[in-house]
Parts: sequence; structure tokens; C-alpha cells
Amino acid sequence: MRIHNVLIDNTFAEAFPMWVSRLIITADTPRLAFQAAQVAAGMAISIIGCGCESGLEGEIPPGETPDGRPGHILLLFSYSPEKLEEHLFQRIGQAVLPSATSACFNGLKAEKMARVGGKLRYFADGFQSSKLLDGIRYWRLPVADGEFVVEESFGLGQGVGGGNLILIGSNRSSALEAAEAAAEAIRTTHGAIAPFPGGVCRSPSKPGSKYKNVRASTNAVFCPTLRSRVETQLSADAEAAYELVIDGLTETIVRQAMAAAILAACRPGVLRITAGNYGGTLGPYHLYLHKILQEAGF
Amino acid sequence: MSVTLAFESGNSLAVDVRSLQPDVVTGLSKGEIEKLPLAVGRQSVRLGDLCKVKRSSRGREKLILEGDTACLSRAGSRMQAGNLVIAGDAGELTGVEMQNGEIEVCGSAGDCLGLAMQGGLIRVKGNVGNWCGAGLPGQIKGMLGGTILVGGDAGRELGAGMRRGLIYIAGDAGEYTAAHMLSGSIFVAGGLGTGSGLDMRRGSLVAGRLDNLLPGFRPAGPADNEWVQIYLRWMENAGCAPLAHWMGRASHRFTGDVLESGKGEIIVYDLIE
Repeated sequence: MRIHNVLIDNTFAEAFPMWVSRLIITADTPRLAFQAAQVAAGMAISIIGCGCESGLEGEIPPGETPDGRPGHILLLFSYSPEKLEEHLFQRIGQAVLPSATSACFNGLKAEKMARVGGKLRYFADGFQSSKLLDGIRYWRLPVADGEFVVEESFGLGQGVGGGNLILIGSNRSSALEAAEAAAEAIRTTHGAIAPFPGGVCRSPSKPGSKYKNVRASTNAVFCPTLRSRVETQLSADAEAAYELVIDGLTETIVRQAMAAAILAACRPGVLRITAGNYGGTLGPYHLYLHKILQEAGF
Repeated sequence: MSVTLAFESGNSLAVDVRSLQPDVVTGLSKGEIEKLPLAVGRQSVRLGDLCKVKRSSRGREKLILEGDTACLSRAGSRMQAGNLVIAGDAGELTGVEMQNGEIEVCGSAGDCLGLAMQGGLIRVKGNVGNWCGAGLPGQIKGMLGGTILVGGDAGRELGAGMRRGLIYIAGDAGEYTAAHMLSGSIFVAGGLGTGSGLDMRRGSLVAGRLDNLLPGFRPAGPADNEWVQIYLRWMENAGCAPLAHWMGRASHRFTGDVLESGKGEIIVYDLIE
């Protein structure tokens, strides 16, 4: 299949289940809310090295937040509910709580809940108080600019991680431009994130390594400087490749985000779009590129 | 399936209707409903002798009390489920010890509305009498949970001893509002009567106007209270529009009563000193 002369490989991305939480972070201004959410997203790039993956789903208008202030939605993914709870506690406690005028609310209804505000309350050293409204408990922690309001519990849902695309370009600037356009398309898909810096990954990895204690290593077949030494995936006219990793609240959302990303990336200078998989052994979700484009009406 | 009980006028004594549980009555036949015993004074009277029974298969499941409803006491008492509509004024002790479900009063309600209430929702379009959301006689704890939304004014000792839940009053509240309050939240869009917050231990009393603060309360502001905004938004969605003008407004905050634990709070938008 070709779109605007870009070859779309007949292959699939292999995705897998991940646990996910959705945080609504509000503050007095959109800038402060963004700042708090961005810091809370922090270094959560890859599950392999960070223990979680996170990113900003998008802005949420004051009319839709629990306290009527501007907010941002943060998605946080991890491989187990215990690990996710640990990250929620750390990131809300260390990044959102100290951010000026901030408050933090649960944005995901789920059967399994993690008690986060209920633990963070001890920071208030006995001066904490709570409010119970419509079955939801809010903790009020006195801080130096007023009170930090945080929900007692946050939903732990089943999401999907590991959706991916690899863009191969004739030169670095064209490939990067296309990758950034694709990352922007992912950002506009509600419920999906691209956790790498700016949504773009320059270091696609493969599992394992020649070294014993290294869990993941550079994917040599996409490295232009190694084309003479390995069985490369790059054609003679390709000079750079970028990967986009996509996590979402559901498989459908990941498929939609991937389709949007492919369509945004098909531009001059891009030679080929492919995806990473492990022969179907890693995860139950096989996201075939041609099929998701058909679903998107292409 | 709805059941309508049209009470005839002329009852000089209060009619105790605590046995009319909406989820039970709506499942009975007309004949079974007419045979239900009701207490009028010290006598037991067949329901069919006091009101006309109408059943309708249309609309959602509810029990409607209409006609001379002001003499009905203990409507929705210990109610556990269903919807009860009082299409007029409600008598005393409506929703006492209510556990769940919804009561709607189209007129005003008498004293002791939602006394020792544990859960559910009560909406009153008009005024409510004294001791709304307070505790049973002799008990320290008042309302234990649930929500009371009132479109008019409230009498004295609103939410006295309140332990949990939410009370919203669109108008003014009388003397000793939130006296002995243990926890929970009371919102009064209008003004508070004298002695409000007396012996308050915890909990929140938010009001539009206060002109006589007890000496046991200390300034503890500024009060940019995000939690108040959460409640205002929730109440706005529940149809309590009059509080929308508080959104984003600065307020005065006081904590007390220092004669007790001093952990209660009064938040006032217009403080008249």
C-alpha cells in the first residue's frame, strides 16, 4: 500500500495490556495546570527503564473539571496495579502537590481503585480534613498558598501499551518533521499518548542484548551507521528512522491514534512506514497497519 | 408504575404514614394498599378510609402523596429505596432516619426534616422548619449522611450535631445553625441566624451572609477554597442555581468553635461587621 508515495508495510504492531490511570490536574491558570501535569508526567518514557509510561492526553476546559478551573489530563501506564499505585503516589505527592494552586482528581472510573489521597493526607501532619460528596472523598491538605485538594482514590483500568510505528526517511530532517506531525496527530486523539520526548523516539529497541544484564538494546537494523554491518531494514536511499510509541485507554483508541499518525506522516521525504513486532509472541493485540487504515476510511 | 394516594382534607390529627415505603407500596395491588393500617392519633385506620388510591402503569416507579398532605407525619421514615413525591406541604419528621432513595416535597416541610438521616436525597421546593438534619431527641449525632436540598428558608438549629452529609438552603437559616456540628457540609445561600456554629467541633458551614460571628471563631483566610468550588459545581448540576454567583468569588474563612476542638469552619461571602 502506498499513501502519497510512502510505502506502508503489510505488517503489524504488537501491543500488550497495561494498567492505566487518568489524572485531572487543575490549577488557577492553564499554564500552572500544564506545568504541574508536565512535571508529574516526568521521566516516564519507557516501561523497560522507567517502570511506567506517561504523557498528557490534553487540556480540559474549566467547565469540565471538578473544581471549575482549567486543567490537563495525564495518563499513566504501568505493568501491574501495584507498580502503578506506587507511581501515582510518588508523582502526585512529589510533582502535583508542590505545584502552585494545584488540585488532583481521578479521571477514570474503574472497579479497581488505588488509595492515593488517602495516603498523601499524612503529609498534613494531622491538619488534614476531608469532604465526602456523592460517594467521592476529597482530602484537603493545608499548604502555604491555601489547600491541596486530592481525591481519596484513583481508578486503575486496563489499557493498551506498545502500539508503535517506525518512519523511515530519506534524510533526518524529513523523517523528523514527519515524526513530529505524527506525534501531534496522536496528541489530538483523546485517550492516547506518545510517551517519548515530544512523542518521538530516536532509539528503537529490541528485547535482550549480547550482554547478560541488559534487558533491551539498540535495534541495529534501523541504525543507518550499522547498515554495512547488519542485515539492515534501511534501503540505500534511507538516512534516518524514528519510532512512535502509542499507549491508549483502549485498543480502539490506539488503532485510531496509529491511523491518524500514519496519515499525518505520509509526506515528502518519508520513504516507508513500518511497525515493530515480535512475531506475535509479546502481546495479544496485533495492530495491522493496512487494516487500521481501512478502518479509518482510507 | 406509580401509586398516587389523594388524602382528603379535614384530618385534625397527624396521620402517621411511616409504613408507606415507596418500594413496597408500588408493588401492591389497589386492594392491598387500601387495607394498609395508618395511625391517626392513637387509633389505627385503614388507608382506604383516609385517601383515594390511584395506580398508573406510566412513568417511573414512585409513590405520590397529594391532597391534604400537611397533616402527614413521618413520610419516608427509614425509607430504603424508591421515590416518594409529596405534592404539597409535608408534615413533621419527613425522611426521619431515611437510608436511601429520594423524597421530593413540592411545598414546604415541617419540623425535623431528615432527622438522623443516613443516606438518600430530599428535595424541598419551599421552606423547612426547625431541626432540619439534626439528631433524634437525646442523641448527640445529627444527620449521618445523605443530601437535603431546600429551595426556601430553614428554621432554627439546622444541621445541629450533623455528622456527615450535605445540606443546601437557598434562602436564610435560623438561629444556631450547625450548633454542635461534628462534620459534614452546610451551604446557606442567604444569611445565618445568631449563634450559628455554637460548639461546632468539625465540619463546614458556608453562607452568603453573616452579621454576628460568635467569639469562639478566629479568622483563618484567605479562603480560595477549591473544595467549595467542587460543591458549588455539584449543586449547580443538582439544580441549585442561586449559588452559581459565588463561583470564583473571594470569601472570609473562620475556624472554631475554640470552646470545642476549633476544627470547624465558617466560610462567609459577605461579612457584615
